[in-house]
Amino acid sequence: MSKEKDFLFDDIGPIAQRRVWIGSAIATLIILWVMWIVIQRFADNGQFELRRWELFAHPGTWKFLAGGLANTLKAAAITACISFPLSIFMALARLSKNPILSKPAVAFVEFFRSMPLVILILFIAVSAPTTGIFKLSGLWVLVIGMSMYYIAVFSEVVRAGIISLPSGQREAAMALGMNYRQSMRLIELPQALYAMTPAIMSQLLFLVQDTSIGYIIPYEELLRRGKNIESYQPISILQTYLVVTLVYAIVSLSLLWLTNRIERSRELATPRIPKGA
Amino acid sequence: MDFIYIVSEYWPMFLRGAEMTIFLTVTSALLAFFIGAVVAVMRIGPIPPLRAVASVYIEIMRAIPLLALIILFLVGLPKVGVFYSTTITAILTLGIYTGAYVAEALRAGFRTVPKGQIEAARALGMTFGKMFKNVLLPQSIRSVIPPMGNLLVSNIKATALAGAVGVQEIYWVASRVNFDSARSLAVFLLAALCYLAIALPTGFLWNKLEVRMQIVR
Repeated sequence: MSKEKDFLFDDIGPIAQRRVWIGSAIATLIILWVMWIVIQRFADNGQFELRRWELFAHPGTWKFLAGGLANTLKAAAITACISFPLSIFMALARLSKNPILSKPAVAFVEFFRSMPLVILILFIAVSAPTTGIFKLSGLWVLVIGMSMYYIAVFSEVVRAGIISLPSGQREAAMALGMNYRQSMRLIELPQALYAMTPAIMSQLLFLVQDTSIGYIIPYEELLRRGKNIESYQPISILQTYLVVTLVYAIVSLSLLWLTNRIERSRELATPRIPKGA
Repeated sequence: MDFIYIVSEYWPMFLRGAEMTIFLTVTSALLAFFIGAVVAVMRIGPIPPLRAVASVYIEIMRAIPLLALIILFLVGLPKVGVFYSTTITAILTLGIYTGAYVAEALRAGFRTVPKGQIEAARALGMTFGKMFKNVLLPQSIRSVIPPMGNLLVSNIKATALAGAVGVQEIYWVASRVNFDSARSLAVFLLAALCYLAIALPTGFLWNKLEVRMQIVR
């Protein structure tokens, strides 16, 4: 933040300083006014009444929501573990010179990437049980749908990482007598994945948030549990969804914080190029 | 076979659904652009309280799943005495949600303008407003076109979540027709193709715009 401040306007003079002060005062008043209107709205409609909130005084409610959060994280973790490794193969297939490999990979990635995830998941949900032999639980419906989509998404990230490497990397590997597989495994992929960690992390954040689509299957994740609480205690409907949204925000913000930490630690640890190289 | 049956039997419904999807996309994208532009200016501007509000807004929107936000608005707004139709609520939610991403994209665009330009504007005695209008905006508008295209396409996909809560667009039509006809593969394939038919031309036109607006060096 300070970096940006210096960038756009250092050296504010006395007149500009006074203007900033006046602007700040007016802005603060407007913000407080808007907040006051919102609070007034809540109060006028009785949303602050104790009976609407007392649900959250029971530990059972929180245990129920924590179970939902655990299910959310479980679905996200399984999806990430399935889709990320497969996405590397998908990226390699798409980059391959053999059209038998690359054409289907292009079709898969473009199709699943440009389709809304809800459609895919609803399709699996309505068609899976009717096929007979084995029944899919809500968790696996969600995981399979999300995996298809995130294989496509992650493979594009990995592909971008491989493409952005300087071609000298592969040429040097070839010159050392490595074949294509060795060059990919030992030279190109590690660098591509390292370079793409921030992009992968931000997609991971979307992945965690997309588990909320389990709501429609239904799979008992956080948002669906919110709906269950709502049908149990209808007067607390607004409060329930506020709390659920807040829990999502806390989980995502901690993930964002982790991402920022990784990025910052990497900025410090840029690989040093030896002198004369 | 099923596919032909579904198309011939239900195409007017899908057409209406597609119209609704396009309507949602366009209105929410305009709203998102307006919100995003205002928030981005607040975020980079010199007034501290506005900067704080803008960054809190952006962080919160990035941290909440869109479906949770839509449901919160849908059930929450009537509870505090604000009554809109489902469609209007969906447009508002999509606009508010995507607006945060638009603001981030614009801010990233502003950062691509070289520092010397800003310093030169300051040396000429321009105020922040003048500098923004005459120096920052015209130069950064080109570099934000590609990320805006991505946001537009993901906005098309996001409208499907509005269908999940009852707005009558393609997703909603698909789930209804599926219930009606029990030919899920054909129905959902057609729905997916509808989204492709909207998303792919949009991406293509946006690429053309990108090429047109590119700075020729």
